[in-house]
Amino acid sequence: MDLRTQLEQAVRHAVSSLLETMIPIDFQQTDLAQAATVTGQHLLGMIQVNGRFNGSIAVSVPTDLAMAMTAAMLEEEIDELNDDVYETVAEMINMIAGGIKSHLSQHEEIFLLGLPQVLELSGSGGVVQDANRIAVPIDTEKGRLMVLSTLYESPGRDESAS
Amino acid sequence: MPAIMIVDDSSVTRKVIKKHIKSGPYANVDLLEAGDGEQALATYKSGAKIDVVLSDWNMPKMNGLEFVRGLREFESTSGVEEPVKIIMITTEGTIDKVTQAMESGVNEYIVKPFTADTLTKTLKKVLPLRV
Repeated sequence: MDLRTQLEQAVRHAVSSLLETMIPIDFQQTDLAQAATVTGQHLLGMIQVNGRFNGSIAVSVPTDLAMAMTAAMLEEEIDELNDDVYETVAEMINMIAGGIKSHLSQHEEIFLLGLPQVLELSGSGGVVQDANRIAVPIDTEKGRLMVLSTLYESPGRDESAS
Repeated sequence: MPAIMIVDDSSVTRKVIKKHIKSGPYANVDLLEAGDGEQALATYKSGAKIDVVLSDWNMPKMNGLEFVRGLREFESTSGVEEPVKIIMITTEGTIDKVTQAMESGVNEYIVKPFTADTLTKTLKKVLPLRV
């Protein structure tokens, strides 16, 4: 199985696990082909990774969905984009990246996780996908969240040396 | 009353853990909070009564593993009779990480995301409920 397929499986498993335990909202896995754009106001949670693979793992969440997810996790009403919403998106990407790492690290620790950052963005744009970049869409009734993973194998890695 | 210290740089995670504890069989415990390992270690060294620590791994300033090692070192050099129980709650779910944590003095390990039920079951292992 190639890295891209493994990565897609790891992302879907990590997001399912998160939404079935800590953030109880209805969701459905959506085909990769529909992941082409990010639109509207959204929060981007991002975490840098380094090790055998370098790059980043990010989650793009429309603000309405981010507020709904925060409300679901804390069991509180959330009607503004407050610190709790930012913290929820940060913790989401932390858990998604951790899940991806666990899924891929069968024989060795595939990368180390940095600390999460969250940015508020607006507008729309396409998401480039190639052998190293993948965007996995997950649909909910409050909008679509997208997990974006960009991983490059470290150059010059000598397998015989490890 | 037993006391539990929650150590996590994410305020929403601390809120979720508090919510789970306060809505379950440990509703009456005293809760303390710290946003990183440095603050948590200072709280412990100050003599605060703590029976169980729930600690994240990836945190700024001092991470969870450094905190655990610092706490265990302090216990051994200060002659603490009853070591505090430590539960690591983290996204780090690889066998390497779990082994590293247990070797450093962690008693139980929970991988995020987790449920209230998982937290309660794990707490029961280190802090038995009085009947």
